[in-house]
Amino acid sequence: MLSFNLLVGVCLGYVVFLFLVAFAAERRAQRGKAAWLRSPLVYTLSLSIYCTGWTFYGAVGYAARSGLEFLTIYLGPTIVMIGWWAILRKLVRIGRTQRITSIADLISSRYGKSALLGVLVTVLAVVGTTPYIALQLQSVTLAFAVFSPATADPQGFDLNSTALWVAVGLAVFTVIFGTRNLDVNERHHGVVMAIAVEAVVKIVALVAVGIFVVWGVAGGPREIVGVIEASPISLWEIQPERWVTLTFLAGAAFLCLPRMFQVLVVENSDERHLATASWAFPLYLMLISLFVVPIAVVGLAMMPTGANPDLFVLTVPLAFDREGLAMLSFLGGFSSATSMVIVAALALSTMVSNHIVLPIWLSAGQGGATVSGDVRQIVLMSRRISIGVVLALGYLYYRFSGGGEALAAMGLIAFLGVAQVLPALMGAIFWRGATRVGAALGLTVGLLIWLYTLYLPSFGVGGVLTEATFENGPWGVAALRPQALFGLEGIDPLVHAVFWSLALNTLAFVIGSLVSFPSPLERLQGATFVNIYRYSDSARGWGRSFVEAEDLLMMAQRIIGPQEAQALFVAVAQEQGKKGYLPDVTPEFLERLERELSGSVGAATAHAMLGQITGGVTVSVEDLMRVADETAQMMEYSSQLEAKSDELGRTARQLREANEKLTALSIQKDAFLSQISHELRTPMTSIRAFSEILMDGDQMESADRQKYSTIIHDETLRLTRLLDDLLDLSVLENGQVTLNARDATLGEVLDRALAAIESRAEPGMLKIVREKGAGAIPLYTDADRLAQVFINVVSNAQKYCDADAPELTISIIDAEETVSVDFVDNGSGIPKKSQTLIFEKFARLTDQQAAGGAGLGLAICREIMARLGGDISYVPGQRGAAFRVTLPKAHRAAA
Amino acid sequence: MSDPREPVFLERETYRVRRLMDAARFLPFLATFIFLIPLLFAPVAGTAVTVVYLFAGWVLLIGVAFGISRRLASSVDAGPTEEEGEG
Repeated sequence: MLSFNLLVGVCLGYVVFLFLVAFAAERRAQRGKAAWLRSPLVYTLSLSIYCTGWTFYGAVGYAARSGLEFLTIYLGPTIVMIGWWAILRKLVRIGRTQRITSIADLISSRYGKSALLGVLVTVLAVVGTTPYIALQLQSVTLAFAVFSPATADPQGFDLNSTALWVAVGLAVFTVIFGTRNLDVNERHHGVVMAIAVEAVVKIVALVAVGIFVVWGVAGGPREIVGVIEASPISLWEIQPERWVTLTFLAGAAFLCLPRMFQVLVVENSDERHLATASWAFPLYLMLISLFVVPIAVVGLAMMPTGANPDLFVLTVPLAFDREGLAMLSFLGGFSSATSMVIVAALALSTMVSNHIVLPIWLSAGQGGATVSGDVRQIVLMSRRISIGVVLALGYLYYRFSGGGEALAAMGLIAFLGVAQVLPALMGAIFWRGATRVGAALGLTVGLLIWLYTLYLPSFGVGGVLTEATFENGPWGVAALRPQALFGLEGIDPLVHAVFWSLALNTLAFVIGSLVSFPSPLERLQGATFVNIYRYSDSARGWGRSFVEAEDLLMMAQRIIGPQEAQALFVAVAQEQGKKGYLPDVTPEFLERLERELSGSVGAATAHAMLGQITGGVTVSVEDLMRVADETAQMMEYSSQLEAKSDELGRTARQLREANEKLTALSIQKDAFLSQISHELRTPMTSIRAFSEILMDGDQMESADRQKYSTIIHDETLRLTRLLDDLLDLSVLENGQVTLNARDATLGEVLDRALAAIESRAEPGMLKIVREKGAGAIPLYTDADRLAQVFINVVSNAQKYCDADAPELTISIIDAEETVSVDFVDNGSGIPKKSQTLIFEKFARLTDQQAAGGAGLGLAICREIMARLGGDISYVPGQRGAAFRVTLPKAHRAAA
Repeated sequence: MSDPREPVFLERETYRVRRLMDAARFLPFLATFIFLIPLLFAPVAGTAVTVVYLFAGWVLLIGVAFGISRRLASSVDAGPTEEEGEG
């Protein structure tokens, strides 16, 4: 038999080793060599505090009693861990950006930095964790008892004093490494390193015992299956409601347990570590539970009836005289228990000091945050005392519960207690509409129902609740029986409690949130938490205030230490472009300062302290509106930018078009100039030639002289006409023409035009057919100009109509607003491709000098008609050439 | 809650990462499904088979989670890791 003193010696040696590990880790971290201390592996191993003494000893006992049900405790966290992307990643991001120190801090911070919620969650955590700590003390004590020389001296070994010494030792360790300093990030390198080492010890121990049992005792995997089939465990029948409930409960507790939150979120230094832990931690859990069933079945088969199955991990190796293995196993169990207690005490003490002690101290001390004195010492002292109190509570619970037989039952009770935070936690990170009132209601309802249906009954019939209460309900109200609430009878008490507490908790939370209205700060925090990926920078929770930076520096020095505070102030001052220690007190600066402070004392306390100094100028509805306005302005601005760039695009397009038009105009102008020169040059050439002949020809016959001077005269006339036309066109195009508008009738104008034509045309050349009627249509127009158009059109027909018996038909179409005059001849018309050209300057379809025009006639007509408010167009498809002159009718009103 | 200004279609690499994120979100549902199946067969098949099934499913899930998280870790990397090195 292993000597008890040797065991105590090894145990003490192990503790010293842990101290050294933690100490070395702290030293390295201080020297800035924390990189490898913060690897994904250490992070994953630190998560293993989920597997406590309850796992190490209790799982085998659980398996021996309830078959495979113990697996649900590990399947739930596996599901949560595998689903890291959805929930844990968000929690970690929030924890890192908001400097969250504990789960109570998260809930309090999210719901408007509510002190009340912080207290509620803290109380819940303390109540839920105390039995758990008791459980660990019990497991260590029982393990010691196994090795104690009980047979020699039954009274020689005092379980209670062992538990006390263990509790004291753990308290000392936690105080030393958990409250060395007030870290701004609330990270404890030494503690994390120590529990990572312990994680390795416990898995090695359990796997070693498992391997020994499977290969050393049973003889191999095949045989062990046979042993399983033969053992009482195979009689186990799956209970669906317990299977589902426990899996869910374990998953929920994994998220909500204060110690799990501590290692998962608070101690996390890099989000990528989660990615590794997402598969590595389930692997750890799987290895931990792999050998539980073999150890249980072998224990049941080998050990005498009545042996405590919770201790098979120790007693089976001892029964085979494998003392080294038993020692390893003992250290594994010791590690499981101690690491859990250390982290739990750490997490709880942070919560207690930040959410209960500090607020009380703040409100008790007059002027609280403004008085001098180092707050850090008070914070640290309150934490040290809290650690002592938490462990004392655990010890007292252990003493007065008398060390309940089944460890697992206690664990599950604690699980459900902390799981009451789940609705408020999920609401905090996924539902912006969740409010403080809802969270407080849900937590209270859940806490009360949990206490009533599970916690109090756990003390047994006649413990806290009387037998009458169990049987008939309080005051004889059967509907309120603690294990058959509202008449829900005949189901497992645990399932019953999970169902009612979480269902009513969620219901109260949702209804409370729906009917209440959140404060501005709550809404701000809600938006920040739920949309944490979008705004990793927290929204501003402070308005403008007129506090002196010096006061803030004084306070910050007392909380985060002089050096850190001064460094922070200098950095902010530099960012603001100032020298020295005192930056301007902007809302951004207040927000940052508060976040730094909350890393030490929690969000609610930090907020309250800053509030005291700044005179409570916290966020107002106006500030909320301003934040919203800023967002709106951003959107406005970007839409303005968009509009501007659209406008630029439009302008560019217009410029391009204008440029094309200018280029075309330039080409047109060049063409026009060359046309003009050509048109002027032809008559000039002949005039010069004939005038030279006249100059030289002294003896010229008078007939010839007559002939030549006639030619010169004709050419001069043609030049004059051309220049007249050009002048006319230029005047018309420039809009300089003054129209001499008066009342006239269409018939009158036509008559005048035709009379003018007939006066100079050779008779019989063109037959003009004028349709009768409609001639008396009144017009208000420049009759001379209109007549000019008509003359031009008719004379064109005279010149160009190529029919044998040319004939022009003039018809009048009287429409509502306008009147049109069609001139249709019986020639071959104008080819389609030329139809658009004829109104251009110098457009002559055939080079007919004989026609005697410069090709400006129709261009002038078009300009005149445009001035008169009408139009001249070519009408295709009318046998011959057809021109339509359209005019507005005289409007009495317009006239 | 997605930004209306996000592009509707993504390039191939980004598309794969998005689907990987979908897979990561879906995985816990698959895990739940696998872990609840014994409710159907455990009463018939017996304890040993159930143990073997559960552990096999467990290992499978760990493998899948390993594959997904290995690739997703790089995209977490791309995300903001603010306040790094301040502590």
